[in-house]
Amino acid sequence: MPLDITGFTTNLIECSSKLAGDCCPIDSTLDVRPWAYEINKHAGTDLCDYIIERRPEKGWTLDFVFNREELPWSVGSVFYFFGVRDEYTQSLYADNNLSFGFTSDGKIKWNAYRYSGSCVNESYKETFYHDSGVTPILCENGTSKDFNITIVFDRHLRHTECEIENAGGWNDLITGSTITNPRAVTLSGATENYQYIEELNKDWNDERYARLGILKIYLNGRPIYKIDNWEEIIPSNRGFQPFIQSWGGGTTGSGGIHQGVTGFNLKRIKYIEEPLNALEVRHHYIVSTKPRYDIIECQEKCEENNIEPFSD
Amino acid sequence: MEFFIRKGSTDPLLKLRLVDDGRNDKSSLNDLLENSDITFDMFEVETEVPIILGGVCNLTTRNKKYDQTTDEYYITYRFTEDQTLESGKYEGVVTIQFLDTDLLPTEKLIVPIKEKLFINII
Repeated sequence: MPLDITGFTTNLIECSSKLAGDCCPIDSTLDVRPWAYEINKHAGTDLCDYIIERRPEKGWTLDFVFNREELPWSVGSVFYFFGVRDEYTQSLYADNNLSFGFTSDGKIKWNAYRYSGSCVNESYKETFYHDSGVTPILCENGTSKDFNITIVFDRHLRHTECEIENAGGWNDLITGSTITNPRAVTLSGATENYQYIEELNKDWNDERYARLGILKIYLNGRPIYKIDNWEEIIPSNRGFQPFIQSWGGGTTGSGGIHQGVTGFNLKRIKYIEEPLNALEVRHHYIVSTKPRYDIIECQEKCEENNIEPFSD
Repeated sequence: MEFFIRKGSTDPLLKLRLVDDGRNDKSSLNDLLENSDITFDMFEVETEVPIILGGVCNLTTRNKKYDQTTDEYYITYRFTEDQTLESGKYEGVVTIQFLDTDLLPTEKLIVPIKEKLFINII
């Protein structure tokens, strides 16, 4: 006899918490790389939240499982991008782009095009520069079959509530606003809709300290790279197509530093809106990664398993 | 330093905290610990017969009260029932083998440094 439960009138799963279905569909994963989408909108027509937070409270974690299939490192190329797509104006893509990719000699390289400024002769002078870093060469054994890359950004400061947008956040970029309603609507006395203009400026540069943290990269659950006072990227509403998260490849524009698509297979991708610490990364690797993929450690433990009993 | 455990028990957990005396940079030691193999050896005090060799230790951390503070790591070891079968006084040694990014061994640290760790199975 079937068990009928009636009397519920509320849908317990909120629309905004779902990433699939008719309510809030997300662009489907295609068989082509990169898989890129705008994080500030869904493919649906309803008003859903951002797919991922524009700026998490403390940091973020990226987790990948790759398989090279014996391909050379030179086809590794860019495997992750975050920021504005196809933008060629420096003031629009600066501090609005970040990518990770493999180099041809088997390292992981991060790239960002950044903004800075200083007071020269009592006037504020803006500068732009390419910022990047590389890990040591990834060990040959540990990347011969499947391998796990985890990238963690842990901001020095945890920002909550209004601090997220104000403490080094996008509110520092706002220099004005425009009314987006049609003129007739505005004249009728109806509520006006504002779109804020975001531009790089001195306030943004002055609050850089609130965006700094530690970037760490792990190979198969072990740390291989750490850089302190690394500036996070907060996507801002500047340029042709901002708020892009792209897996498996980069983008054009941004000074050409994020171009390329990885030739390696992506077996798993994860984005976590929390910075995992080293123990959590290791735990995740041991529990959720190592048993499910064909991973060889950088240095396999020497274990004797065919021990013969001693006899004269 | 004395640690007590009942015969045949697996609890309590043996837990060692790194001393934060302000003279060492704890964050750089944490970086080293994150990429290390930590093992535990235990031998009988009187006979020096080893009871445990190369027992795998774990690293744990405590929940931070303030976000900006450096992580505080603990080294833990859980005894098995077999390892606590015989009552007596034993000495414990924890070996931390630091690794490079290829997981090749670099420096080694044996703790505790200032005083001995005695395990009393009662």
